[in-house]
Amino acid sequence: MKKFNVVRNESSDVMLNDDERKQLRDSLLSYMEKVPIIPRDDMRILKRSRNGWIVGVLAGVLIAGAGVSFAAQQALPGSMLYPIRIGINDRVRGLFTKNTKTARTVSDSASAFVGSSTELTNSIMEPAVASASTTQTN
Amino acid sequence: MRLIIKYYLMNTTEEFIALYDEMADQLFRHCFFKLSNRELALDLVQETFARTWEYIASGKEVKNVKGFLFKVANNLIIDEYRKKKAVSLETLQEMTGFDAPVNEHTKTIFSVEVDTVLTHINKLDSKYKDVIIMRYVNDYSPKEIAKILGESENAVSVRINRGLKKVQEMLNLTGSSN
Repeated sequence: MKKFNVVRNESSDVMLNDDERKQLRDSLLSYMEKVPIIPRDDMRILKRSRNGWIVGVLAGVLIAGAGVSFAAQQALPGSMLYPIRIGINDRVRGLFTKNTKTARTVSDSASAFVGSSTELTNSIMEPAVASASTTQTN
Repeated sequence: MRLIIKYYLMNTTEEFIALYDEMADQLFRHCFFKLSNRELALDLVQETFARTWEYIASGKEVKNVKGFLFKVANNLIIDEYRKKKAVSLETLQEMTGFDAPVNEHTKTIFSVEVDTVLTHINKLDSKYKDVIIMRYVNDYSPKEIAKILGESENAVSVRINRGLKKVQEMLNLTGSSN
């Protein structure tokens, strides 16, 4: 143990001399200028803004899709949104329904289809009937 | 925002230079006692700081900077050993002993006693050599060594004692134990 304490005493003299220390410090400083630091905060901001864009676009797509789907819910045959109602809304509703409820879903879709057909027929027929009766009266 | 980033950059640079001022001698001693070559030790200290800065500058986080510095230095020392594989380091030490460290005012030469102990320390496995150099050359406490190496204080103390015992055995074998 004594020997190791002697090692400690003698090795304390081992150090950089002033010239070496200065030379190393200068070369380190010039290297640090050559390889500048990218601040972590700055990178976090960049990352956040990139994520923000993605989230914003996704939210926009979702809101627009939900709006179109909601509008298509009341669409009648012949309207621009009717294919969306039949092709997407009804299918999605069917997907979320378990087997036991499938029949009810299909029947709901069918009755909705019949309802909308009736509405369409009425909307076409009523003015025609009204104009015919007016002509007859005259 | 730019001001904050500028302040952050300035602060990190100043902190790193302060770290250099604090650790340069300790790392130099660590490299010197493992390589027994002053010029090479100087090069490795410079390379160690440069690589650590490069790592920090790339935005990666370093939780234990002192531990990281020693790890980089040790990896560089291993690279040096590999380069010099053709010439056995131990043979070299037995032939020439340690290079005398040059102090600004005086030329210090190790006593024969210390030279012998250092030669035996360098024959140890690196896991013992590292902790003994940290303890008896850099004068770190077992607690500080544990913090730097990210290990328990108990494990470090056990390793120091086992290393000392091995060196003592080698000294007994060569008949220089007094």
